[in-house]
Amino acid sequence: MSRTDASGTEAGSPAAVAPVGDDLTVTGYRRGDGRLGVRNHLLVLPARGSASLAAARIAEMVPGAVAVAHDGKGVAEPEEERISRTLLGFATNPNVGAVLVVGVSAGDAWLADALRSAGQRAAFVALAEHRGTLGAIAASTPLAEGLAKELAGEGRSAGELADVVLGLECGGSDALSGITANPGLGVASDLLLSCGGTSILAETPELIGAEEALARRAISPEVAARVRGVILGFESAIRGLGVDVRGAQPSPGNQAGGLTTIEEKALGSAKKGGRAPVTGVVDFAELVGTPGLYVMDTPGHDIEQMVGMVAGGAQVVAFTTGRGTPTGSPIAPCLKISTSTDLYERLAGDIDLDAGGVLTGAESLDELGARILATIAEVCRGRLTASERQGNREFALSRTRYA
Amino acid sequence: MSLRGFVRPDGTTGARNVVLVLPSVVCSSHVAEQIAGHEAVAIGHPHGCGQVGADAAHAAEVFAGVAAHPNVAGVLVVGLGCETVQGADLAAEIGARGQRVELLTVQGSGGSRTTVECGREVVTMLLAKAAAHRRSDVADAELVVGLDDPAAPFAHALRRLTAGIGGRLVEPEEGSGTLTHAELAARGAQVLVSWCPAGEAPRGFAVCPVVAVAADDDELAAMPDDFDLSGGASPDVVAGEVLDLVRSVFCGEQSASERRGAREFELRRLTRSM
Repeated sequence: MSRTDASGTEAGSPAAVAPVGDDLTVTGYRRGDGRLGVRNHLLVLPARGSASLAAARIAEMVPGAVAVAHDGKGVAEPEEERISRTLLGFATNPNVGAVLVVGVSAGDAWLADALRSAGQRAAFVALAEHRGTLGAIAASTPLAEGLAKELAGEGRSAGELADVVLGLECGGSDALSGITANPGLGVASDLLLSCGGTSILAETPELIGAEEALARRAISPEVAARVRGVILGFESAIRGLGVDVRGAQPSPGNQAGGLTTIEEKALGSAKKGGRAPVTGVVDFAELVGTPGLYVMDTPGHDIEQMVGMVAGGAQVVAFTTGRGTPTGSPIAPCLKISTSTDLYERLAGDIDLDAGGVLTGAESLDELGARILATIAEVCRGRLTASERQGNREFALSRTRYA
Repeated sequence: MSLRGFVRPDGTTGARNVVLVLPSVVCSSHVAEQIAGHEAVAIGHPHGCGQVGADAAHAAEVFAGVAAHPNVAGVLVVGLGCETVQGADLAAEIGARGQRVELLTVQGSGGSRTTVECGREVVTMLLAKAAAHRRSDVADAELVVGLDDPAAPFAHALRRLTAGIGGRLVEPEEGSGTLTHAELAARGAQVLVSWCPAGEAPRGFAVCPVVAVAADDDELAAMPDDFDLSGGASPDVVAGEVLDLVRSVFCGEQSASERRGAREFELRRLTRSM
């Protein structure tokens, strides 16, 4: 018996076929575990919040290095497992060629040790071994320069779309999100999957209302149950805080953009995942497995979500927006797709692709999807995205419990 | 002996004369940092959206409190446009508290690049106005000291000594744990005192100097550049040293946090992100 999703189209294998003519080759840096990096960053990673300043300063002085800043508390975290999974997943993303961990004392070296155990190149410096922040910056800058130079000397080798894990994201949605950019990205995702690649659909609160449509596409009853469990679980967790999600969303900007209810937003949001079967459900920042479409349990918070998907293995993120946002990831190229030509023109420097042609009839959704996929391949070969050019390197840790 | 500080129109006194570039949301943080450059202070933070209920209200309240702080001479709020903590609402609240405030949004200004260009002009104007402010003599009673951990061994003695000169010590309620530097500042503290447990490094704060007290002499010896003094001596001695240094720092001497350029901003969250 064939099943249908909410839009009435048949679930199952992606209908779209990869277009011929577009250059869909991918190149990158093959890692020891077989994954392909499409960037080769030196990541300067603070082991805890108080080392963030030193990490930022080191990265500023070393071309090719990127730092993240966070408010982690080391092993004293109440959600230590979730936080270390995030940091380890992020720092072992194949886009990272090497890591310099900056800690306060020798006790923070566990993070560098864990990275090495996971097969990552990692060095460690502690503030307390160099009289503090300024001493640690001075002492470790030559070390970071050496690592960065090594990475810069490494060449790209051939990869394929099957190597690609694509993070699907939308932020600052408007009434056109579910009509142009999101379904266009859904076509691109289906095409990627048909080439053996992987996509991650996330932002759980923005899937509330779309749980049945997604569960019906699950490859097994177990996956369907997890889809429902994760989405309804998030809703009840939020309701436990005394907040009615279905009333608190959409955000002020979504409403100004013409969205009326969270269900309307969710059904539009879920279109980023195309029509493919749902292969699996993963926890926040959990590494995705065999190729396919995954649902990751993340907040809708744009940056926490992006960090979760990148920690889960995404080398590239496609981010649709109706209101416009400049954000990006420190280590993964983030491709911005506007829902309208008006936005693309108003925020030209922040947006990479315009999905507005779908509205005027200048482009079909299939054509848009093919163009998005070709651009993703180009980005994977090294083309810089708007957020990379502008140095947008947002990062945030995601916690579920607060005192 | 009196202090020297910046007397604000509402009668409060600042220990610093900072021009603040405040993003109302993580999405405009990078733009805010580019606008601030080296002369103004930007608070980069991962908040302002995906927050609900009391958590969103708390974030907006702390942002407004820090921006309206007497150490701040003027503020540029940089919103994105679609965020939960709306830049326009935040700027209105900061203005209502008597602070000089300007507003830009990335979506309303044509994107990142043009927002940075417009923002630089605004900051240049705010810096010029701030430069006209001068320190003057103020009474000891104007001093508000923030202590981030009431479990610090010298807390009681510092409370007593500060009260003795007519000043005020702001600290978390007994048993409620620590308060972030942002919350202490939002309650009016001009100079913060940070007590660091062993193995942890001290942090600075966006708009206030932080006087960092190491747990003991060994901790101080390990990171002498990041700490201001050791908390290893008797509580009365430590409290006396801390208050002396706080007074000097209030009047313009740089604390260790300022010497290394530490301008952190940590917001306490009440509930998970949406």
